[in-house]
Parts: sequence; structure tokens; C-alpha cells
Amino acid sequence: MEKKKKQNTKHGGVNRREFMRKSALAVGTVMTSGLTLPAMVKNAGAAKRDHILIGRPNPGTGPLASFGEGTPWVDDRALAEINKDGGIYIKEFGKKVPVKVKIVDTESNPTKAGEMASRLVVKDKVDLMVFYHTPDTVNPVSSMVERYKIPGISLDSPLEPWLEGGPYKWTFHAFWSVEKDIVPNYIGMWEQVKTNKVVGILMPNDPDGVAWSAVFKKVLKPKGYKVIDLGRFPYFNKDFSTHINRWKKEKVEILLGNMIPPDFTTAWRQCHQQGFVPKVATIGKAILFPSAVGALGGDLPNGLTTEVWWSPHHPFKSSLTGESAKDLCDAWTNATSKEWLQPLGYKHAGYEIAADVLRRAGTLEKEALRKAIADTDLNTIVGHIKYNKENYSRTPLVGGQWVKGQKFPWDLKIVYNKEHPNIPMTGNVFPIK
Amino acid sequence: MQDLLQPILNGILLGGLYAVIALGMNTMFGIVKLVNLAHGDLMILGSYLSLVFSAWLGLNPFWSLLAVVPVMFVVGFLIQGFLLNRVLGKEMEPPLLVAFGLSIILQNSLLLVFTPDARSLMTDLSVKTIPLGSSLNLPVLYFVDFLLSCAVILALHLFFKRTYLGRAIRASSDDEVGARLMGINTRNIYAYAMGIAMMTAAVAGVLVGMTFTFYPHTGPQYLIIAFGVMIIGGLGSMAGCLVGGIILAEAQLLGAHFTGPGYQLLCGYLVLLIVLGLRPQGIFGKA
Amino acid sequence: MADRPFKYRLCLLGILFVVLGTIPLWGSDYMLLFGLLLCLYMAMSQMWNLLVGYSGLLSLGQQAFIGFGGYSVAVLTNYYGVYVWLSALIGGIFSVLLALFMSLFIFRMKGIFFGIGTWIFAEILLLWFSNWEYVKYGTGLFIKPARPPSMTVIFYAAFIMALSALVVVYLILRSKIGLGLMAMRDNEEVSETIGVEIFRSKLFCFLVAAFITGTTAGVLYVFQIFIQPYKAFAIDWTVILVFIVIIGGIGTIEGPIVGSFLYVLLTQWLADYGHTSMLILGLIAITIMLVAPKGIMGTLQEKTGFTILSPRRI
Repeated sequence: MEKKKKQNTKHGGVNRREFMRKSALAVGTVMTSGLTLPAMVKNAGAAKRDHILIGRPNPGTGPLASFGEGTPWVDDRALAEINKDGGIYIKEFGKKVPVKVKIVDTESNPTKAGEMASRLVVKDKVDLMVFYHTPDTVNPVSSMVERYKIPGISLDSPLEPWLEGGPYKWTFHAFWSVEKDIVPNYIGMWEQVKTNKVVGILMPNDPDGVAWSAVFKKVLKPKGYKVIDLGRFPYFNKDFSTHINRWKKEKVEILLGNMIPPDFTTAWRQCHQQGFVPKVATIGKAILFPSAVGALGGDLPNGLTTEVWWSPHHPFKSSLTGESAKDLCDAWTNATSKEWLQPLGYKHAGYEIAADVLRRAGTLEKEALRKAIADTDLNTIVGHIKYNKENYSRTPLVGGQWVKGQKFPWDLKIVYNKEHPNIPMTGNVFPIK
Repeated sequence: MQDLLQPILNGILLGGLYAVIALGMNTMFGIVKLVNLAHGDLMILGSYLSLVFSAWLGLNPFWSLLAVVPVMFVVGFLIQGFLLNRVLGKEMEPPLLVAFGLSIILQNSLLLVFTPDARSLMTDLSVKTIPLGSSLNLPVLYFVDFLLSCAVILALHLFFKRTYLGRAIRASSDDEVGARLMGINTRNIYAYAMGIAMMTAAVAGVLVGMTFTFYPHTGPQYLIIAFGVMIIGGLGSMAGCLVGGIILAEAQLLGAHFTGPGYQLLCGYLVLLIVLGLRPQGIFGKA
Repeated sequence: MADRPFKYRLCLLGILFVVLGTIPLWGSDYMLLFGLLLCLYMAMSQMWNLLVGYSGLLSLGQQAFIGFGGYSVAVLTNYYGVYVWLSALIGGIFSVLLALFMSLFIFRMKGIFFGIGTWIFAEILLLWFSNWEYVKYGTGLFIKPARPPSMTVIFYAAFIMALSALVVVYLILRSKIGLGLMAMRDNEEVSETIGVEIFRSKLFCFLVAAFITGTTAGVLYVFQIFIQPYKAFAIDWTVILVFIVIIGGIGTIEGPIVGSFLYVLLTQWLADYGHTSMLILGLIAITIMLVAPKGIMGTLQEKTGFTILSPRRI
């Protein structure tokens, strides 16, 4: 201790004072660098923009990446159409201005989604938020939209988990309901195959899993089904042998599930590893996409059933480009050589609604935009959108089954449409084994 | 009682896999008295390397072992030689924190290169099953994991007993100064030891990649498992690895059987905490 | 030692805090967000530093208190309508109780085993909460207070936490306990023979750290609105705290301040680039460990004796 003191006083207090000055300077420069000064100071003059900015939180990476895959292809295309002759007339600018979009990656993580949404509002000052793809994206972004009071348009996430975070004033949502749409579709498909009516539930403890299991347990018993539920499993669960053993013991013939794609890959493979193959396996969310289905490997996808919320066979047209559902799917395949994906239509519909809203409002004033969204009454490529008093609109749902395909390894056929006969069937339900 | 047979069987087989996961970390702890916090991530690196080689050469993941194991040896050698040896000293924190930093770098590099998508090493074995009697099934892949793990443990045991390098490593860990006096370059020895530990991690990584799906961030999960095996079985003991692995796996699967699948990992952790509190040196460890 | 340079240095720190504290008056919304994050991390990293840098308790499980504090706020505010900031304080108290419970098991372990013990506890809590119907399993909870506080109010709550953390650490280190801790840091066995109560001092620091971390987490989650077990109890929190403290300077009071600033700056700057910020942090941390193991402020202190808040009384 003494030695050090001596050393310091040798160089004297001058060294320390110099150091203080240097460090103060360093701290000062560090604080102003990296952040542009105008952005730091309030009321430095509102950032003069010459375009409309839409915020687009999207799960580009992570377990939900297959949902986010169509972005930015669909977004760019839709924007090109909107901006075709200059854009949309906004009275604050006194002329037509183009629409630009800022897409950010939520990494399939709800907390990250909330943070990115916060940044979009506070740093990028977006005029409107458009977002989709499962409760893990939609729920946290909705709550940020409500907190910062900017208008939000959301799609592609089941209604019940979304309503949990309500009531909503600024967010408007469109999709189907678990109780009113999924249940009749799933049970409808099951009724077409001879089974012993014993259902095994396989769901994680995420918003979908909790909501779906609650609804199904309520409705299945009165219809004469026996339900085996071992409880919710955590994301990335590695071992399902406990479930499988119980299902084998109870002679389960219908497997009902909803989970992220990687968890189903693990689970379905383990089912086969341990000698359990049910007659029917209806899984929500995990097997919506050809890539997820292909990842199962071998012949495992054959006969798996799931929900279909959009397909090339859906008889709807885009209000923006006039394309039919089939046109959009063909354009996608031509551009990417990949099979069509269900979210494509919904991503496109989001822009249809946004464009319609901006055109009708003609202003960027938040309250006016909000009212314009509430008044939406539009035929889109996913169906008719008209929001009710609780800020949502139900879209149609049918049932589908995966079979070996011709052009692509696996095809999704529509095998049940009794709730919406206007969407044509393309195949019949068959048992897995 | 009948339906306990399947979880018990699965537990034994899974225990073998857990043992080979922990083997490298346990051996290194016995030698340099350090817990390598990056062990799980290094193992996953092995899985990803296997993915790359299998895709590149169109091979079955088992063949990729021929490439992955040597590469991981070099990786381990370099990490110990250039990174960890520099901070080995009296204080506990620097090596731990360097390993921590390494873990984060590995996870995020893998994320950037391979994206967060789930991966797995495809092999026909993953869905094969052998029925044993009316209610029991032998998952072939788990069985293969178990056999290979035992083989690796045996090989490592023989290595330490019979080869010069093996004995040199044991000497350095028993008495560093004495070993140096006998002409052993202990720093080099540590690097070789790490290389060998990484070879076992490579095998573990390939097995894990075939059995379960993996992501860039699955490393820490396996670190906790390795730690659990180490604690239960005994610090620095190879036989302990196998015993500890089986006990941990049984705790998980039997626990899940009785309390529900959501609590599977929890049961394993509880057993781990109990052993940590009561007998921290483990079953075969020296006090 | 002259008193004037000390007064200058104290002024420097004071100016920084005044600048920070008045952001709502002159800063943009984004600057407010920045300042908010800065304060939250300063508070939590100051506590981690107290544990590792001064008490020799390598805690890898601070996330246990972060999640616990956050969920306390969520549950109390949503289900019982308790005033938001009161819930945060109660969350802090719950965290202390949790810490007491944890100490029964892990205080007999040393070094890395203590660390892993804390980590396992956090993982157990993660699994427990994700299986618990009361908190809606893994779906998470939205924190919806009756009167949602404005960003400015939330900022001041965070600022108070950061200031409190700093003051608490300074007072502890200047007190008898602090003297004991530093003796312990130098040589544990000898210090025990001269009467330093090691176990009591360590436990005290552990509990204090739990309280402040838990309360700060409460404020954090009021800001984030949404809490779910997988992120709240994740090891990611420890990773961040470790980096902040290593880079800033372990065992110095100013270290966590500098480290937090760098961390928030880096992550905000690279926010659009996903994980590159964590990668860079990892690289910086390893470089620092190899080249300047005492971190930025630590090396500064060593080479020049420059400290603003010295725990040494001499």
C-alpha cells in the first residue's frame, strides 16, 4: 500500500488531474458517439419523412421461422403494387406518398418481439404496425401497440390466446377460433375414420397449448371421446417416452397435438422408435409447412392431418392485385421453386387491409387510422374481413391431410370442408395405418 | 409395475448417453481441477460439424465421426493450449470466465452460421424399434448410443492405463511438480488431455445429434446434465460417469412417470441438488 | 491524500448522475429508453459485483431473483390489484425469502459448486413456474396495472434503483462488514482467526443482492409488460451480468457503471443485427480476461490509482 502511494506521488497530482480531464472527455465523447445527437434531444424538430412507415415484426429465425419464410417476398410484391402510381394520398403531405416497411426479426421469441416492437415505435416512429404468426409474436406486440397507442393490424394467430391479453382498443385481429373452428374441423375429420374414440393430448405449455387443451377437454367428453392428458410439456422437450408409454397402455388411437415444428419432429420420431403409431394424428401449427413436414424424415409425414387456413384452392381474390389464391401460390413457386405456404395469403392480406385503411383515412393521425381500421369491410385473398366490437374478424378454416406429392415430396389435400363448402375438397381422409 | 419396465429400460440406455456426454468434462476436471463451462457448447459444435460433413460427403453420420473426432481433437488442443493454459493459476475466476466467454462465442457463432433452425442427424436407426415381449420396446437408437458410450469409456480407461501419454496425464494431475521433474511438459500435457476430452465430446455430439434435435443454444442444457452426472457419479471418476448417468436418467424418467412429463427435468435437478448437498464428491469420488 | 481531487472526482460522478436523472426533461423518447435500460443493468450488475467481486460468491443464478421479482409484480398487480411499485418492493422481499431458502442448501458449497447450485435452483424455478397453473404455465403473464405508469415514471423507478444499488454497495463496503469482506478476499482463513464472521457477512451480502435484484426486476417487468418463465429465469441474465462486470472491472464500484453503459450501447447499436452484439461481447470479455483481467476500471485503478468511490477508508 505504501509503495503504491509513493509511486503515484512521484508522478504527482498532475497525472491524476490530467486523467480526470481525459476521462471526462472520454465519457463525453462516448455518450455522444453511437447515438446521433439530434435523436437524443427532444423536440429537435420532428423527423421530416416523405413516406408512410409500417413496422413489421416477423419471426425470421428460430422455431417459428417457417411462418416468417414468405417475408420479404410477399411484402415487397404488395408494396410494389401499392406504390405503383406514387402511393397513397395523405393530407399531411398534400400528395401521394409511398409506403415503406421496416421488417425486424423477433427470433420467434416473445420477449424479443416486445422489445423490437418497442424500438419500432420509439426509435423508428412507425405510423402503423402490421404483424402476424402465432401467439408468441402477436401477443407481446399487441400489448406494446396498446401501450404506445398506435394502430395495429394483426393476423395468423388463434383467437382465444389473443383475447387473453385484451380488451384491445388499438389492435385489430383476424383469424379463426379454437372452439368455433378448430374443434368442428378436427372432430369432423376424426368421424370419417373408424376409431375407438380414445384421444391422447400432446401439447406444450405455451399459449396455444394451454388454450387448445382447455377447449378440447371441455368439448370432447360430451361427444363420447375419452381424453388422456398427461399435462403440458416444456419447449424443446427431448424425451416423450412417458407420454408414449401411457398412450400405448390406454390404447390411444387419435393423437391430438399443437406445438412448434421441432418438438413434433422429436415426438413423432420417438413414437415410431417406441412402436406407437395411432390411426389418426391431427397436429396444429407443427405440420403446416412442407419444410417442417419434410424434416420428419422418410415416410413419417404420410397421413398426418392438420388445419388449413389458406391454400391455392381457396376461392378468394386480392383487393390489391386482383390475383386469386392460386395465382399467388404459382407466383411464389415460379420465383422460389418451393411449394406454397399457408401464411403467404395472410401476409398479403395484411397489406390489403393496411392499404385500404390508409386510402380511406387519407391521414397519418393515429386516432383517425384507428377508426378507419375499425370500419374495415373488405374482401381479401383470405376471405371477408370485418372487425366486430371486440376488434376481431373470424376467417374460414378447413381440414387437410398430407399425402405423397407429385411435383413436391408432400402435398396437402383438403379433406374436410363441411363448415365452409365454398372451399373445395381435394381428397378424402384415410387412417395412417 | 409392468409399465415401469419401459422407463427403467429407457433410463439405463439414456444413462449411457449421458455418461459419454459428461466423460470429457469429468476427465478434465480430474486433471486440471477446472469445470469447463463451454463443454456443452463444444459438444454441440461436434454435432454441427457432423451435420456439415454428412451433408458435404453425403454420408451416414456414423462415418462422419472419422472426420469430426480428429477436428475436435485439434479444437480442444488449441483451446487449452492458447486460451485456458494462459489463465490457469491460483484464482478460480479467470478460467471460468474465459470458458464462459467461449461458450457465448460458440453459441452465437453457430447461430449466425447455421441459423436457429432445429437440426438433427438423420439416420434410419432413428425410427427402428425392437419389440421385447408384449409391452416392452427397445428403441434401437438408444441401444446403439449405450453401446458406443460404453465402448468410449472402456477405450479411455485403457488409454489412461496402457499408453505413455495416458500415464503422463495421470502423473501431471496427481503431482504437477513431480511430473515436471520427470521431464513431462505439463502445459503440453494439459493440451493433449483437452484434445482427448474433446474427442469424447465429438462422439457424444454425434450421438446426441442423431438421437435428439439440436439448436445452437442447446449446449447449456447438456452442460447441466454433464455436471449432474459428474456430481452424482463422482468427480474425476470414469466408472462414476456411467453410474451417475444412469442414476440421473432414471431420476428423470421415473420422475416423469410419476409426476408428469412437465417435471421430467425438475426431478433430475432435485436429485442433483440433494447429492450436491449431502455428498458433493459423488459416489465414486474421493472426499 | 489530498481531499480536493476526491471532491473533483465525486463531482464527476455527480454530474453523470444528474445528467442521467434529468433525461426526461431534455432527452428524446429513445434516450429515455436507453437511460431506463442503463439504470436497470447498473443496479443488477452492481449487485452481482458485490457478490463475486467482494464476497467471493460466484452466483450463476441471479435470474432466480429476477424471475421471482418479476412474477411477484405480475401476480400482485394482476390478481390482487396491488399498487405497482409496492408490488416491486414486495417482490424484493419475496426474493430475500427465496435467497434465505436457497442458502440452506448451497451455502455449504464452495466456488464453482456454489455457482452451479444457484444455477440449478434457477432452472428448478423455471420449470416450476412453467408448470404452474396459477401463473398460466409457460404462456406468460401480461402485467396490467389499474393505472399504467408512464415511461417517465418507470424511468425514475429504475433510476432510484440504480442510485440505491450504488449507495448500498458503497455503505456496505465502508462499514465493518465491508472491511471484513476485503480481509476475507485477501485471505479467508486468516481473517476468520481475527474474528471476521465470514458466513454472516456472505449471507448478508447474498440477501441484500437478492432484494435489490428482485425489486429492480419488478421495475424491469413493469416496463416490459410481458413475462414468461423461459426468459425470466434464463441463464441469459447471468451471461449479461458476467460480461458487464468483467468488462467494466470486477471488484470495483465504478466497473458495473462503465460496463452497463457499454453493454446497452453495444446492444442498442447492433439491435438490428441479431446476435452479433453477444458475439462481440464474448470476444471482448475473453480478450479482457487474457490481457487486462481487472477490466476497464480495474486496470485504470491499478495503473493510475484513479478511483471515484474507493471502498478503502485510507
